[in-house]
Amino acid sequence: MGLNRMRAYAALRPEFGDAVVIATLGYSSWCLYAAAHRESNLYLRGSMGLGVPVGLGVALAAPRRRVVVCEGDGSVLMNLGGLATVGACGPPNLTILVFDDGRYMTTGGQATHTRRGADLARVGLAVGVSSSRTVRDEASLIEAFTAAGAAPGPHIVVATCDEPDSRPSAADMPPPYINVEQVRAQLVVG
Amino acid sequence: MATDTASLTAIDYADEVLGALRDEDVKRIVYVPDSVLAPIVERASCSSLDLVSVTREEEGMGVMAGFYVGGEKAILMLQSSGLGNSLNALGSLLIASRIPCPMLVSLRGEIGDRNFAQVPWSRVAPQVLDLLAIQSVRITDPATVRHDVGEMVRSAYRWHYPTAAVLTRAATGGVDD
Repeated sequence: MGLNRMRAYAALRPEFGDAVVIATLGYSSWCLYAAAHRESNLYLRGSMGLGVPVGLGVALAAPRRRVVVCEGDGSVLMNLGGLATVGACGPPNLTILVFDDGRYMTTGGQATHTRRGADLARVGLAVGVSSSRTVRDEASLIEAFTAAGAAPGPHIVVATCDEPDSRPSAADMPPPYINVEQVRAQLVVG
Repeated sequence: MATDTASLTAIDYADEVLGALRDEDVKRIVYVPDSVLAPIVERASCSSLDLVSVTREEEGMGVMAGFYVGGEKAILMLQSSGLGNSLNALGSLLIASRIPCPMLVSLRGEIGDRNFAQVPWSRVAPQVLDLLAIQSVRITDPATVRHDVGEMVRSAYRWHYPTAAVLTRAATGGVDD
Protein backbone atom coordinates (compact mmCIF):
# COMPACT_ATOMS: atom_id res chain seq x y z
CA MET A 1 0.00 0.00 0.00
CA GLY A 2 1.35 3.42 -0.93
CA LEU A 3 1.48 6.43 1.31
CA ASN A 4 -0.68 9.44 1.87
CA ARG A 5 -0.12 12.20 4.41
CA MET A 6 -2.88 11.28 6.84
CA ARG A 7 -1.77 7.65 7.13
CA ALA A 8 1.88 8.68 7.33
CA TYR A 9 1.24 11.17 10.16
CA ALA A 10 -0.87 8.64 12.06
CA ALA A 11 1.90 6.04 11.76
CA LEU A 12 4.59 8.55 12.84
CA ARG A 13 2.64 9.91 15.81
CA PRO A 14 3.97 7.32 18.33
CA GLU A 15 7.52 7.87 17.04
CA PHE A 16 7.54 11.64 17.59
CA GLY A 17 8.48 11.29 21.27
CA ASP A 18 9.14 14.76 22.71
CA ALA A 19 10.17 16.23 19.37
CA VAL A 20 9.03 19.67 18.34
CA VAL A 21 7.13 18.98 15.11
CA ILE A 22 6.70 21.93 12.77
CA ALA A 23 4.33 21.75 9.81
CA THR A 24 4.43 24.12 6.92
CA LEU A 25 1.21 25.83 5.87
CA GLY A 26 -1.86 24.34 4.21
CA TYR A 27 -2.21 20.60 3.75
CA SER A 28 0.93 19.79 5.75
CA SER A 29 -0.57 21.58 8.76
CA TRP A 30 -4.17 20.50 8.23
CA CYS A 31 -3.30 16.82 7.95
CA LEU A 32 -0.88 16.93 10.89
CA TYR A 33 -3.57 18.49 13.06
CA ALA A 34 -6.21 16.02 11.92
CA ALA A 35 -4.05 12.89 12.22
CA ALA A 36 -1.46 13.58 14.91
CA HIS A 37 -2.15 16.68 16.97
CA ARG A 38 -0.01 17.10 20.09
CA GLU A 39 1.10 19.98 22.29
CA SER A 40 4.56 20.22 20.73
CA ASN A 41 3.26 20.66 17.19
CA LEU A 42 3.76 24.08 15.64
CA TYR A 43 1.46 24.84 12.72
CA LEU A 44 2.62 27.55 10.35
CA ARG A 45 -0.23 29.52 8.86
CA GLY A 46 1.40 31.31 5.97
CA SER A 47 4.85 31.99 4.56
CA MET A 48 5.15 29.08 2.15
CA GLY A 49 8.73 27.86 1.90
CA LEU A 50 9.70 28.79 5.44
CA GLY A 51 9.02 25.53 7.30
CA VAL A 52 12.63 24.44 6.90
CA PRO A 53 14.17 27.78 8.04
CA VAL A 54 11.86 27.92 11.07
CA GLY A 55 12.87 24.35 11.95
CA LEU A 56 16.52 25.25 11.51
CA GLY A 57 16.19 28.15 13.94
CA VAL A 58 14.44 26.00 16.55
CA ALA A 59 17.01 23.20 16.10
CA LEU A 60 19.94 25.59 16.61
CA ALA A 61 18.31 27.31 19.59
CA ALA A 62 17.18 24.06 21.28
CA PRO A 63 20.04 21.66 20.51
CA ARG A 64 18.93 19.02 23.01
CA ARG A 65 15.47 18.66 21.51
CA ARG A 66 14.71 16.70 18.37
CA VAL A 67 13.14 18.99 15.78
CA VAL A 68 11.06 17.57 12.93
CA VAL A 69 9.86 19.66 10.00
CA CYS A 70 6.92 18.37 7.95
CA GLU A 71 7.15 19.92 4.53
CA GLY A 72 5.44 19.51 1.19
CA ASP A 73 7.20 19.30 -2.15
CA GLY A 74 5.75 22.62 -3.31
CA SER A 75 6.94 24.46 -0.24
CA VAL A 76 10.45 22.99 -0.38
CA LEU A 77 10.70 23.91 -4.07
CA MET A 78 9.83 27.48 -3.19
CA ASN A 79 12.95 27.75 -1.04
CA LEU A 80 15.63 25.30 -2.13
CA GLY A 81 18.21 27.72 -0.73
CA GLY A 82 16.85 26.91 2.71
CA LEU A 83 18.02 23.31 2.30
CA ALA A 84 21.50 24.58 1.42
CA THR A 85 21.54 26.60 4.65
CA VAL A 86 20.60 23.45 6.60
CA GLY A 87 23.49 21.66 4.90
CA ALA A 88 25.83 24.52 5.80
CA CYS A 89 24.73 24.77 9.45
CA GLY A 90 24.39 21.02 9.97
CA PRO A 91 22.17 20.86 13.07
CA PRO A 92 22.42 17.25 14.30
CA ASN A 93 18.94 17.30 15.88
CA LEU A 94 16.98 18.25 12.76
CA THR A 95 14.94 15.87 10.60
CA ILE A 96 13.08 17.16 7.55
CA LEU A 97 10.17 15.05 6.30
CA VAL A 98 9.02 16.00 2.82
CA PHE A 99 5.65 14.60 1.83
CA ASP A 100 5.99 14.57 -1.93
CA ASP A 101 2.69 14.08 -3.74
CA GLY A 102 3.80 16.03 -6.81
CA ARG A 103 0.95 18.47 -6.30
CA TYR A 104 0.14 21.87 -4.85
CA MET A 105 -2.63 20.30 -2.79
CA THR A 106 -3.76 23.40 -0.93
CA THR A 107 -4.51 25.27 -4.14
CA GLY A 108 -6.24 22.47 -6.02
CA GLY A 109 -3.69 19.81 -6.94
CA GLN A 110 -1.67 21.49 -9.67
CA ALA A 111 1.52 19.60 -10.62
CA THR A 112 4.84 20.53 -9.01
CA HIS A 113 8.25 20.02 -10.59
CA THR A 114 8.77 16.74 -8.72
CA ARG A 115 6.35 15.31 -11.30
CA ARG A 116 8.69 16.47 -13.99
CA GLY A 117 11.83 14.92 -12.59
CA ALA A 118 12.97 17.12 -9.70
CA ASP A 119 14.37 14.75 -7.06
CA LEU A 120 14.35 16.36 -3.63
CA ALA A 121 16.27 13.56 -1.90
CA ARG A 122 19.12 14.09 -4.35
CA VAL A 123 19.00 17.81 -3.69
CA GLY A 124 19.37 16.94 -0.02
CA LEU A 125 22.45 14.85 -0.69
CA ALA A 126 23.88 17.61 -2.86
CA VAL A 127 23.64 20.22 -0.10
CA GLY A 128 25.54 17.98 2.30
CA VAL A 129 23.08 16.79 4.95
CA SER A 130 24.00 13.61 6.85
CA SER A 131 21.44 11.45 5.10
CA SER A 132 18.75 11.98 2.51
CA ARG A 133 16.56 9.24 1.07
CA THR A 134 13.21 8.54 -0.52
CA VAL A 135 10.67 6.11 0.95
CA ARG A 136 7.47 4.84 -0.63
CA ASP A 137 5.66 2.85 2.04
CA GLU A 138 4.77 3.09 5.69
CA ALA A 139 7.30 0.55 7.00
CA SER A 140 10.21 2.25 5.20
CA LEU A 141 9.04 5.65 6.42
CA ILE A 142 9.02 4.55 10.05
CA GLU A 143 12.36 2.83 9.64
CA ALA A 144 13.92 5.92 8.03
CA PHE A 145 12.46 8.25 10.66
CA THR A 146 13.69 6.09 13.54
CA ALA A 147 17.15 5.72 12.00
CA ALA A 148 17.31 9.51 11.57
CA GLY A 149 16.57 9.96 15.27
CA ALA A 150 19.38 7.59 16.24
CA ALA A 151 22.20 9.20 14.22
CA PRO A 152 23.47 12.80 14.09
CA GLY A 153 21.69 14.79 11.38
CA PRO A 154 20.52 16.79 9.66
CA HIS A 155 18.42 14.18 7.89
CA ILE A 156 15.98 14.42 5.02
CA VAL A 157 13.32 11.80 4.38
CA VAL A 158 11.26 12.28 1.24
CA ALA A 159 8.04 10.28 1.47
CA THR A 160 6.52 9.77 -1.95
CA CYS A 161 2.76 9.99 -1.47
CA ASP A 162 1.06 8.38 -4.43
CA GLU A 163 -2.34 7.99 -2.84
CA PRO A 164 -4.59 11.02 -2.45
CA ASP A 165 -5.64 12.45 0.89
CA SER A 166 -9.19 13.47 1.43
CA ARG A 167 -9.35 17.15 2.28
CA PRO A 168 -9.69 17.54 6.05
CA SER A 169 -13.00 19.06 7.10
CA ALA A 170 -13.03 22.55 8.58
CA ALA A 171 -13.47 20.98 12.01
CA ASP A 172 -10.26 19.01 11.57
CA MET A 173 -8.16 22.02 10.68
CA PRO A 174 -5.98 23.67 13.31
CA PRO A 175 -7.95 26.41 15.03
CA PRO A 176 -6.99 29.93 13.96
CA TYR A 177 -5.19 30.79 17.18
CA ILE A 178 -1.49 31.17 17.03
CA ASN A 179 0.43 28.51 18.92
CA VAL A 180 3.91 30.01 18.72
CA GLU A 181 3.88 31.05 22.40
CA GLN A 182 2.57 27.66 23.50
CA VAL A 183 5.42 25.75 21.86
CA ARG A 184 7.95 28.40 22.94
CA ALA A 185 6.90 27.96 26.56
CA GLN A 186 7.97 24.32 26.33
CA LEU A 187 11.44 25.24 25.10
CA VAL A 188 12.37 28.28 27.15
CA VAL A 189 13.92 27.30 30.44
CA GLY A 190 12.99 29.44 33.45
CA MET B 1 31.19 71.83 9.39
CA ALA B 2 31.22 68.53 11.21
CA THR B 3 31.32 66.47 8.06
CA ASP B 4 35.04 65.87 7.66
CA THR B 5 35.96 62.23 7.36
CA ALA B 6 37.91 62.16 10.59
CA SER B 7 34.94 63.09 12.74
CA LEU B 8 32.64 60.65 10.92
CA THR B 9 34.93 57.71 11.34
CA ALA B 10 36.13 58.51 14.86
CA ILE B 11 33.26 56.36 16.13
CA ASP B 12 33.13 53.04 14.36
CA TYR B 13 29.55 52.02 13.57
CA ALA B 14 30.42 48.32 13.41
CA ASP B 15 31.85 48.36 16.95
CA GLU B 16 28.83 50.31 18.12
CA VAL B 17 26.42 47.73 16.67
CA LEU B 18 28.33 44.92 18.37
CA GLY B 19 28.25 46.93 21.60
CA ALA B 20 24.47 47.21 21.35
CA LEU B 21 24.15 43.45 20.75
CA ARG B 22 26.24 42.80 23.87
CA ASP B 23 24.12 45.26 25.87
CA GLU B 24 20.95 43.46 24.81
CA ASP B 25 22.30 39.94 25.25
CA VAL B 26 21.78 39.13 21.58
CA LYS B 27 23.77 35.98 20.86
CA ARG B 28 22.99 35.31 17.21
CA ILE B 29 23.18 37.17 13.94
CA VAL B 30 21.25 36.03 10.88
CA TYR B 31 22.37 37.83 7.74
CA VAL B 32 22.62 38.11 4.00
CA PRO B 33 25.99 39.62 3.06
CA ASP B 34 26.22 43.36 2.35
CA SER B 35 29.31 45.54 2.14
CA VAL B 36 28.15 48.00 4.81
CA LEU B 37 27.30 45.14 7.17
CA ALA B 38 30.49 43.23 6.33
CA PRO B 39 32.70 44.71 9.09
CA ILE B 40 30.03 43.86 11.68
CA VAL B 41 29.91 40.25 10.49
CA GLU B 42 33.69 40.04 10.29
CA ARG B 43 34.18 41.21 13.86
CA ALA B 44 31.25 39.17 15.16
CA SER B 45 32.83 36.01 13.80
CA CYS B 46 35.80 36.66 16.11
CA SER B 47 33.55 37.06 19.15
CA SER B 48 31.15 34.75 20.92
CA LEU B 49 28.30 35.60 18.54
CA ASP B 50 26.85 32.82 16.40
CA LEU B 51 26.36 33.67 12.76
CA VAL B 52 23.90 32.14 10.33
CA SER B 53 24.38 33.14 6.71
CA VAL B 54 21.14 32.59 4.78
CA THR B 55 20.60 32.53 1.03
CA ARG B 56 17.73 34.98 1.04
CA GLU B 57 16.23 37.47 3.48
CA GLU B 58 12.83 35.82 3.84
CA GLU B 59 14.64 32.63 4.80
CA GLY B 60 16.38 34.69 7.49
CA MET B 61 12.98 35.70 8.86
CA GLY B 62 12.07 32.01 9.12
CA VAL B 63 15.26 31.32 11.06
CA MET B 64 14.56 34.33 13.30
CA ALA B 65 11.08 32.92 14.04
CA GLY B 66 12.71 29.59 14.93
CA PHE B 67 15.19 31.29 17.25
CA TYR B 68 12.31 33.05 18.99
CA VAL B 69 10.40 29.79 19.46
CA GLY B 70 13.61 28.21 20.79
CA GLY B 71 14.13 31.07 23.25
CA GLU B 72 17.15 32.82 21.70
CA LYS B 73 17.55 36.53 21.05
CA ALA B 74 18.86 37.29 17.59
CA ILE B 75 19.12 40.07 15.02
CA LEU B 76 18.55 39.95 11.25
CA MET B 77 20.91 42.06 9.14
CA LEU B 78 19.94 42.85 5.56
CA GLN B 79 20.12 45.41 2.76
CA SER B 80 17.20 47.67 1.90
CA SER B 81 16.76 45.68 -1.33
CA GLY B 82 16.56 42.52 0.80
CA LEU B 83 13.54 43.97 2.50
CA GLY B 84 11.93 43.70 -0.92
CA ASN B 85 12.80 40.01 -1.05
CA SER B 86 11.03 39.34 2.20
CA LEU B 87 7.69 41.11 2.24
CA ASN B 88 5.43 38.07 2.53
CA ALA B 89 7.53 36.58 5.32
CA LEU B 90 7.18 39.84 7.25
CA GLY B 91 3.42 39.74 6.83
CA SER B 92 2.33 36.15 6.98
CA LEU B 93 4.92 34.87 9.44
CA LEU B 94 6.32 37.56 11.72
CA ILE B 95 3.41 40.00 11.88
CA ALA B 96 0.60 37.44 11.66
CA SER B 97 2.13 35.45 14.52
CA ARG B 98 3.46 38.48 16.47
CA ILE B 99 7.04 37.24 16.42
CA PRO B 100 9.76 39.69 17.51
CA CYS B 101 12.36 40.29 14.81
CA PRO B 102 14.90 43.09 15.27
CA MET B 103 16.35 44.07 11.90
CA LEU B 104 19.40 46.12 11.05
CA VAL B 105 18.78 47.44 7.55
CA SER B 106 21.67 48.78 5.53
CA LEU B 107 20.13 51.56 3.45
CA ARG B 108 21.75 51.39 0.03
CA GLY B 109 21.13 53.61 -2.96
CA GLU B 110 21.17 57.00 -1.27
CA ILE B 111 22.62 59.97 -3.14
CA GLY B 112 26.30 59.24 -3.58
CA ASP B 113 25.86 55.47 -3.98
CA ARG B 114 27.01 54.61 -7.49
CA ASN B 115 24.86 51.48 -7.73
CA PHE B 116 21.71 52.84 -9.37
CA ALA B 117 19.89 49.52 -8.98
CA GLN B 118 19.81 50.15 -5.23
CA VAL B 119 17.99 53.46 -5.63
CA PRO B 120 14.36 52.26 -5.83
CA TRP B 121 14.49 50.37 -2.54
CA SER B 122 16.42 53.12 -0.82
CA ARG B 123 13.44 55.36 -1.58
CA VAL B 124 10.67 52.99 -0.51
CA ALA B 125 12.18 50.83 2.24
CA PRO B 126 11.35 53.33 5.02
CA GLN B 127 7.83 53.79 3.63
CA VAL B 128 7.26 50.04 3.41
CA LEU B 129 8.28 49.70 7.06
CA ASP B 130 5.73 52.40 7.90
CA LEU B 131 3.00 50.73 5.84
CA LEU B 132 3.51 47.49 7.76
CA ALA B 133 3.39 49.44 11.05
CA ILE B 134 6.95 48.39 11.78
CA GLN B 135 8.66 50.76 14.21
CA SER B 136 11.91 52.02 12.79
CA VAL B 137 14.69 54.39 13.67
CA ARG B 138 16.78 56.09 10.99
CA ILE B 139 20.40 56.31 12.08
CA THR B 140 22.35 59.25 10.65
CA ASP B 141 25.08 59.64 13.24
CA PRO B 142 27.58 56.97 14.31
CA ALA B 143 27.36 58.37 17.84
CA THR B 144 23.76 57.16 18.20
CA VAL B 145 24.23 53.67 16.72
CA ARG B 146 24.67 51.85 20.03
CA HIS B 147 21.71 53.55 21.65
CA ASP B 148 19.38 53.28 18.66
CA VAL B 149 20.16 49.65 17.82
CA GLY B 150 19.73 48.73 21.48
CA GLU B 151 16.35 50.48 21.71
CA MET B 152 15.27 48.84 18.46
CA VAL B 153 16.12 45.37 19.79
CA ARG B 154 14.32 46.03 23.08
CA SER B 155 11.28 47.33 21.27
CA ALA B 156 10.94 44.19 19.16
CA TYR B 157 10.82 41.90 22.19
CA ARG B 158 8.61 44.30 24.14
CA TRP B 159 6.08 44.73 21.36
CA HIS B 160 6.31 41.26 19.78
CA TYR B 161 6.68 42.62 16.29
CA PRO B 162 9.46 43.22 13.78
CA THR B 163 11.40 46.45 14.32
CA ALA B 164 14.11 48.08 12.23
CA ALA B 165 17.15 50.31 12.59
CA VAL B 166 18.00 51.85 9.23
CA LEU B 167 21.72 52.58 8.78
CA THR B 168 22.29 55.50 6.40
CA ARG B 169 25.46 56.61 4.60
CA ALA B 170 25.73 59.49 7.03
CA ALA B 171 26.23 56.99 9.86
CA THR B 172 28.52 54.57 8.06
CA GLY B 173 30.47 56.74 5.65
CA GLY B 174 28.98 54.76 2.77
CA VAL B 175 30.31 51.71 0.99
CA ASP B 176 29.18 51.26 -2.56
CA ASP B 177 29.44 47.68 -3.73
